[in-house]
Amino acid sequence: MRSRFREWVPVAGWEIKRMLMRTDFVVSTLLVPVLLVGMSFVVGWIKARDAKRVRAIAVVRYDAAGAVTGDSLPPLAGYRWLTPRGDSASAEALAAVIKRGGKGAVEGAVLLPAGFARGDTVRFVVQREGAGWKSRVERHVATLARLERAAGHPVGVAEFAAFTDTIRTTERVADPRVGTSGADRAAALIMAVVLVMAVFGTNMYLAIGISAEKQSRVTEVIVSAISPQSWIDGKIVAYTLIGLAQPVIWTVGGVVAAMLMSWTLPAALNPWTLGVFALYMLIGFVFFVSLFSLVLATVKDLQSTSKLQAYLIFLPMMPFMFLDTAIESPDATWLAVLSQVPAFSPTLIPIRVAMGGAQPWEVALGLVLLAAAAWYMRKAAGTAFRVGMLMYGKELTLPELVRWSKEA
Amino acid sequence: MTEAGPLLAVQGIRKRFGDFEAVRGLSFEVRAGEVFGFLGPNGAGKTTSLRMLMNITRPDAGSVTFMGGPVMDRRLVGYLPEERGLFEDATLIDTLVYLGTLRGMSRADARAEGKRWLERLGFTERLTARLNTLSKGNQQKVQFLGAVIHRPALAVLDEPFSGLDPLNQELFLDLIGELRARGAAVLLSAHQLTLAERLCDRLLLIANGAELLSGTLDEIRLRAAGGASEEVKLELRRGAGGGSGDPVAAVARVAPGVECRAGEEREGLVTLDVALPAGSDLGPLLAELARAWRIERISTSALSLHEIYVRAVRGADPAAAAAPLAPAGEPEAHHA
Repeated sequence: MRSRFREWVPVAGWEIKRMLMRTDFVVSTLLVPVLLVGMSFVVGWIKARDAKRVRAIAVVRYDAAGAVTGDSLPPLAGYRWLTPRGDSASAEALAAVIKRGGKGAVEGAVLLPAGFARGDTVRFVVQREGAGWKSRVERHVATLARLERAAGHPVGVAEFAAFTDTIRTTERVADPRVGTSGADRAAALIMAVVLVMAVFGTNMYLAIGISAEKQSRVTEVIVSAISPQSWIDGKIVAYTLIGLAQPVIWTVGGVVAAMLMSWTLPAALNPWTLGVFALYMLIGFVFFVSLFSLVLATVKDLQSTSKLQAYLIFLPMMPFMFLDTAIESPDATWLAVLSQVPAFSPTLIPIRVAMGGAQPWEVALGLVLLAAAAWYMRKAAGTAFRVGMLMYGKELTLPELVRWSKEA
Repeated sequence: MTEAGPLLAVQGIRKRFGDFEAVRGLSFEVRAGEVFGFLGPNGAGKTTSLRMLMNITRPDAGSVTFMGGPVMDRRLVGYLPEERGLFEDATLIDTLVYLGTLRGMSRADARAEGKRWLERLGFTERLTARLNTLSKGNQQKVQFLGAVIHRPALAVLDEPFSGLDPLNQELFLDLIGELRARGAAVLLSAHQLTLAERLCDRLLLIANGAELLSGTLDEIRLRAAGGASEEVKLELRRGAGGGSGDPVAAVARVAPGVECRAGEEREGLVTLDVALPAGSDLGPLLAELARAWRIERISTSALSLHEIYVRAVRGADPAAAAAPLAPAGEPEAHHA
């Protein structure tokens, strides 16, 4: 008998070729990295422009009698203090000037009463609510207030400043585990999100790919040439590669964008953990593609995809309901049991690993169960396709499902 | 498989869908180098049977052996199903390459063979055209090529002529004839009985999932005639060299004992009525007469396949018997 390999390889090649000819697939795959890189240039340009920008802020300080003193604030990088006097120093006059706006105009004003360090209200005039400069200037004024308060006490400024120093701590980990750095945790979460996105993104193409032969009446020609199992295997391989190509391209685009934006990439990623994440992602993806293939193999065309499929599409998202527990108590017994369920393990186990809550045997068992489930799903999909492939133009009924299960 | 053994042997296959038995114990054999006609009315069980042969559905009982073994090597079989279509957005050459590689060809071989076939059928300028730009008839040609591109030992063709105009029907007759000429077996299901009559070496006529008639066309005619004689009417003209002798005596020389009567000669034309046993080979008789006479016209009362088909199916199906009968037994004219 001819090897299965030689049967499903042409199917996989054909599906990939057809997918690469789909404009929507190519555009959606390439558009994301192009957008990411493009956005990095835009963000970089805005940041560079902001770095050069000096904001003009009016500072009005009053003495105890309420007269404008003409004093300013200590210098602050990126800010230029203006000290209006006379009528132009009133809040109303400043608001009118700030409202007019314009290039190089005064962006805001801060009015400091003499007792601002002792509880008197500091007033701000902003052009719009949520002005970005306000919090920065507020912190600057607060520091000034602390220094003024310290000056009223029999301690030096330096000693007073030491009061606000943060404490120093060290940590000794009693049960150290690899792959639990912040970078590993971020990688696990990102991988879980990417897996769900990829499953969602691939599902539509998979539906088209599985039902294409039925809709174009080519089914009998194909299965007279190769076994239904080889046919479904070729589809699963093709759509796994297609589905994973998108996140890989997107990730590469994201990394390039991050580098362009001068973000520091995490150096503490553990290779072993990353390998486990990659394995779970790959086998998990095969599992979901096989599961959806099984459901899709029973439908006659795209329009009649069953409600069951609509519910199943949410399966990869369900572990996110337990995300809090997975982060806070990754070694909880019920979570450990739940994370062995093949539909949940591709997301839950990597997160638990990154949180230090999964033992190596759990990781291994989860992989074995996931691989076994993926294998069973592909076999079931092959059987469902063989039994249901000649179902043209009629809806799937319960008696038919029973008949199929008997044949399977 | 032995030299003389059948390529495909079907033994007592049955298929039931719920309470309905679609195929009821069919048995037949298909040999290398022959076109085997698989005929029957709509709903007779032809497509269900062919799907069982192709292992697309499984028989409830019975067996199918290919080249003496129970497993059909899909590389050696070509299949043109009745329910057929194509990837409409794919190109002609890509489609043939794909179907060829599914049947075990290398991509290079499939491309070369596909290109050769497409060029031969007049698609030289359209190799990379999409299939949805072709007419239905042209799409059917590509479907046919997809079934035979890998040079199968057995080609199973389910209604290959349906939807074709007469010119394309003739083209398909030639193509199927070529398959037979290079030693392939062709299992052909068709409704166009005049085409099947011209093409098939042996026939199986089924109705309600069971066999009605089988054998060569002559054997089927003999059985359908039920032993009655076949009336042959000839018009003979004395040749330029001058016909001589008695045509009745000539008939007696090659077919002694048959009833033969010659009419009066008028303007060099003699009519001859011969009552031959049904299913007789006319060849020797015509050869003998042609030695002295020019045969101007022959007509025979032999039943056409169409007539045999209608009679047999109506006999097997009481519901069909209610329909008006087509004129049967009317001599079918052949011009010499």
